[in-house]
Amino acid sequence: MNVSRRMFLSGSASLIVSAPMISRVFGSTSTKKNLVVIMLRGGMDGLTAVPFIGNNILGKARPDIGVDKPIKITSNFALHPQLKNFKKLWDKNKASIFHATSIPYTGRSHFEGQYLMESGGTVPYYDKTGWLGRALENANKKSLSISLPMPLILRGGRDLDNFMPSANRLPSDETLKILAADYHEDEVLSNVLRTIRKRPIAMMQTSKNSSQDVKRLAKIAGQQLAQPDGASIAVFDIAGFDTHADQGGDNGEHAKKLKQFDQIIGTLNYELSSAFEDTIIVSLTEFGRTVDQNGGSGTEHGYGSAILMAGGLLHKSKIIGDWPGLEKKNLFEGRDLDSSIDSRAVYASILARVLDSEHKQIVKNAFFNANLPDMTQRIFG
Amino acid sequence: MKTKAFIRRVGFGLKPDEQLPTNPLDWAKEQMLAVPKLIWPGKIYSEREMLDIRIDFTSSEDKLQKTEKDPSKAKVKKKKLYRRTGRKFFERYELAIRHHQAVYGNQPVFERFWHFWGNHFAIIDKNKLPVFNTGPMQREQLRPLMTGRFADMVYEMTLSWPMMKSLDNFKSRGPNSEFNVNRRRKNKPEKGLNENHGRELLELHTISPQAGYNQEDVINAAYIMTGWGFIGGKKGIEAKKIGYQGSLHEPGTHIVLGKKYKTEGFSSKTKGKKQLRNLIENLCESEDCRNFIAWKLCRHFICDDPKPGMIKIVIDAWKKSKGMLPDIHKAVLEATWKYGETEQKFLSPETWLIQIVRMTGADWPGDHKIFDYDFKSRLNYKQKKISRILGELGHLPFRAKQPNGFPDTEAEWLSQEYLVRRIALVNNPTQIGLYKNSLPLIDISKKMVNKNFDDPKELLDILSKLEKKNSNPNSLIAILCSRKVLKV
Repeated sequence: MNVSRRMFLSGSASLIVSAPMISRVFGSTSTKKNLVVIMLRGGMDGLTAVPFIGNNILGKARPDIGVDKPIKITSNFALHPQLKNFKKLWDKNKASIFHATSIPYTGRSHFEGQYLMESGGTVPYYDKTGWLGRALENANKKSLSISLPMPLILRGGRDLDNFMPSANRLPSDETLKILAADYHEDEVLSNVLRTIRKRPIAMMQTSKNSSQDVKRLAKIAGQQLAQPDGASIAVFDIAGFDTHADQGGDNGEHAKKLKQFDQIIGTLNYELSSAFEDTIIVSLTEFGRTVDQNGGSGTEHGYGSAILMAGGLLHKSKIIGDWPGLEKKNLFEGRDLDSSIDSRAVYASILARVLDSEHKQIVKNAFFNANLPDMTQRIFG
Repeated sequence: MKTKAFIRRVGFGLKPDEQLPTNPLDWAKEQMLAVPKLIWPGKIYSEREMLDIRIDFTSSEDKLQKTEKDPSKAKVKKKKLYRRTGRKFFERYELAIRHHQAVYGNQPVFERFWHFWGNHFAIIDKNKLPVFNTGPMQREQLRPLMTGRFADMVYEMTLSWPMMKSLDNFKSRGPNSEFNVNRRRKNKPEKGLNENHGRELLELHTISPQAGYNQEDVINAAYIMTGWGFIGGKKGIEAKKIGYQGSLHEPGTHIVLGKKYKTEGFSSKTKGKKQLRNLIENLCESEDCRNFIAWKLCRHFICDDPKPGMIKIVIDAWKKSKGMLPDIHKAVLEATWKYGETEQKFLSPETWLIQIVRMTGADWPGDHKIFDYDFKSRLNYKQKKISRILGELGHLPFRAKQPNGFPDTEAEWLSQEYLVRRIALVNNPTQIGLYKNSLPLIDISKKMVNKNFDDPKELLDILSKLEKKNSNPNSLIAILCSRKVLKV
């Protein structure tokens, strides 16, 4: 079956959404809505996560690293077999994929790309704040990053914290007060210490096992997100998608990383329980990878990739996007999956939904008034 | 810049018994002239020895996986194998050598530059490289290069074993190389180019994207690099040497940033071999390379956003000396001396840790005899703590996640969780070698402040308000986690 270059909604036969559905989608603002961003560093291969199976171009281009046991989800697309939790949510109409999309960056450098996927701008190393941080500046929502650094994506936001389990114990607040007096003249240090002193008890407990197993980290985040007065924004950071050699297929390096991503989704689903209904999880990467495999059974830096979304805020599982095709003439610079839409448009629409904000306002606050179409209907409709 | 602040900015501060140098700028510059010997009293393993140990480890592990199918027996055997080959030991051992040198050595400023270059040529955390290879390479190959030319350093690092392994160039082959022409003739699928190392050579090691190269330049740099990999020797890449294999090289002239690299010579074995040397020489001679490296050095020592005036001092020295590192390093020190007073630099976790143990006279990383390992026992607390603590602080120097290494700015290093970990570390000072039988902790703090601060009053005032109980770490936290120690 041929897929047209026009808008496609695989897996969903109809664009018509019933009236009660609309009110549920765009209605109430009273519940706390959660957004989880999972950053996938190194260039996540959208063609491995969500391979195109409508023809055999991909199979021929990747004889050694193809996905052998793809889970078919539409007539043209499949899921990587490691995305088991994602598939379960797909079956419940709680997962979608935006395919063939990228941030507006074609330079193929990880570090420029990663900077831009977080800053939301177009000039590497220029903006000192991140798109999520800017969107949250006036939102009165708590954010928690599951990482040691405060990632650029959240910088500029107000109520920020970051966390990883640790074995050492903090001194009493009396001692921290001494530091607070010393930090008085330094705004950044003061703010950081203030958040530390306000941390919930769960985040102050020490842990002998400081393992960074993603399920454990997701559990911690899930518990905070599930609290009515806890964080409503969480950020995860998984590195290691840069598979220039031995990328693997169903198993191997890229698969291992996709599995971690999937475990975070599965754990959050479990921990959030009913709050998962008011949650959306999205992936974010700096670029996709070349269609062809390279000399080392890996792939090179590319352009278009996929955004994987899951959570109860979605109501219809579907693959969204304008599929450019994998024929040579349709590839970006003859080698990469093209991007049919600036992925910031997807994030802006998701932000508008989670923050109950006007799309226009989000684009202005978070994305420098870039020309980003409103994708709300396509994602949530 | 003020004397004591300068010593903390470019070195690791003064030890309790260390003399204040009369001319700190000269003191620092003199350290750039010769490579200090490693003062570690224990055994120092050569890179070759470590590769042999790596062969032993990987081959024994492979064999075990293939032969032992009973999971519980396999577990026992694996543990024994790990101990015999130092799988959990060697990274800690290398860290101990590195920290011993920084804390007790007499050229701390040199060590700071060594740490800088180790991070510039970061080897990522994969394939057990941090365990067996990264530390030895930095000691044996990188360190001696610091008194030579920058271009030579780039060339040698490009062809170092861990770099070759981590950036995959040994798997890269010219699409039209003899190798691939033969494969096509035999109807076998082509094994083509790998752009990874070519791109990072341009982006991270020499000219940065500021130079404005494009995808074609990256591909051509990768063509030039084809043929370089592991050659000769027995089975397994660990047993081989880094060398050039003409049959894998992409033939013809390659163009990078408008400059042509022709094939030289007639022998098919060595044709194209010189292209890499020529490319690196040209890259290192370019204005883009000088600008990038000078900026990065200034960012490390002066401030997160270096100004043109600072960078110019380094660039001028580079031009004048034709890229000699001692001159470049001395210029960085001069620029720091000149501009450091008005700027501040937030210290990375590892630099901060070394500073606080050095300035307080702590027993860190512990007596070298602790690290006399029998390759049979379980590692003990004292052997493990160096990597545990650096891991807690988020800065295991041989474990960069990406080839751009660890970051170097306050925005990247100052977060709630990072700060919590520094405070919590000092809250239990025995961990860093400040034991209860040493001086009262408040006296250690006072001594350290008097010795290391040009204007100690503010910090002494904080101490004067605290209790004098020996076991209370308050005074240490108040000083070692103070704004003036975190930021120099």
